Amino acid sequence: MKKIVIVAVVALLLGVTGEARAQDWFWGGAYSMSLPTGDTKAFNEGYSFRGVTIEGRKILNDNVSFGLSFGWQVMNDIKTNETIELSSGALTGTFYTYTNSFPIFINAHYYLGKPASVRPFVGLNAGGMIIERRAEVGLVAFQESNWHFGGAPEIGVVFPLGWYVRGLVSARYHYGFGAGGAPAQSYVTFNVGVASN
Amino acid sequence: MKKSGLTGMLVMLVACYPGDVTSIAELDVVMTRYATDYNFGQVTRFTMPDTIIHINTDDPNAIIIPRANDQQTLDRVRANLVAQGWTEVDWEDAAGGDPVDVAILNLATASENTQWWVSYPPGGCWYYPCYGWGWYWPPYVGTTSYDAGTYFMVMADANQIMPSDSTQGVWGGVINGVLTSSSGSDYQRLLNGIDQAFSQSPYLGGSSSN
Repeated sequence: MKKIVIVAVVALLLGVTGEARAQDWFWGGAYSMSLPTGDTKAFNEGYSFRGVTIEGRKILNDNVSFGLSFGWQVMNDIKTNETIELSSGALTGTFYTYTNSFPIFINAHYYLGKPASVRPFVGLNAGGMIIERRAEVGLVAFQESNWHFGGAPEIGVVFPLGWYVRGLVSARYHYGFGAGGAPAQSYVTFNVGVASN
Repeated sequence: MKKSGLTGMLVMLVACYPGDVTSIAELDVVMTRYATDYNFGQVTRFTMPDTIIHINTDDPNAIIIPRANDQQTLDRVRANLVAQGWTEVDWEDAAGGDPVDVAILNLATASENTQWWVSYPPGGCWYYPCYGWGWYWPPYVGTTSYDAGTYFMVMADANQIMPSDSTQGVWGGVINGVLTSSSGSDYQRLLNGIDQAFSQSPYLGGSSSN
C-alpha cells in the first residue's frame, strides 16, 4: 500500500508542475476501488480498496481529449474449507486468491458543459491489462500472468477546486478478453482523485 | 505458470499479496485421488494392518512422530471405512486366505523445512515473490522454519497385490500440513482431515458414480 501512496503522490506532483501549466494537457491521479464481476468475482469475491490510476489527457478542444491511462488494482479473497473437484479426485483447503491487474489504455473523452465549470464526461479506454492471478493453498502456490486485450467505458465528472486543480470522480468498467488459458476478466473501478490542467 | 518476459518482470516488481495466514490450520490440505476405471460398488470387505507406517525416517530433516494417538487415528479411519457399508476382515485372517476386496495402508511422514530471506529496508525486499529494490546497507537476513507433516491413506485392490511387487492404488487420501506436534490441536486437525477425505469421496460407498 505504501507503493500506491508513493505513486499517487508522484502523480499529484506531475499534475501541478511543468507542462501541466500549458493547459493543453490534463493530468490526474486517483485512488481506485474495485468491484470484481464475472470470472474475476468467481476467483476473488468482494470489494477491494487497493488501487490507483494515473492518466494524462491531451485537450483537443473545449469538449474532447485523447490520452493515456495506467492503473494498478489488487483484489484478493480467502476461501476457508473450500473443496474443488479434480479430474479424478478432490482438494480441500483454505484458498488465498489474488488478482493484480495493470491496465494500460489509450483513451478518448467527451466533456459536457463549459471550461472551468463542473463537467460530466464520458470516455472510452482501449488497450489491455496485464493480469496476474495467484492462488495459494497449503504450502503450494499456482500463478499465471497474461496480457488481456480489452477496454473500459467510463463516466465521470471533473469539477474545479481552485488554481489549476480539479476534483475527479469516475467509474470504469474494465473488461479483458480471455488470454493464455485464463478466462475473460472484468471489474468496475470507482475512482476519486485530483487533476490539473 | 505462464510468464512472458516484460509481463513477468513488471508483475514481479510490484505485485501485491495482502493478507496473512493467521492459523496453522489454514495451511492444512486434504487431497483425494481415485482410479476412475475401478468399480468401488463391488467392494464389501476390507482389511487394514493395525499400524501406521512412518516413511522417510532417514531424511536428515525428518521429525519423529509420536505414536501416542496411533490407535485412535486408525480407529477413525476404520470407522469411516465401515461407514461405507464395508466389513473389516482381520489382517492375519486376510493373509491366511480370508477373501477381501481392498487393503488399506496408513502412512505418515514429517520434516522440518527452512526458508531464508534477505530484506533491504525500508520497503524493498529481495525474496520471491516480492523482488523489489533497496539501497540501504546492510540488509536484514533471516530464516523461517516450520514443521510440516503428511498423513497418507492408500487403498489397493487386494486381488491385484502381488508379493514383492508394487501395485497401483485405487484410492488415496493425503492430509498435508498436520503432525507439527503432538498437541491436541494437531490431532483434532488430523481426525478432521481423515473425515474430510472420506466426505469428499462419495463414490467409495457407491452413492455417486465414478
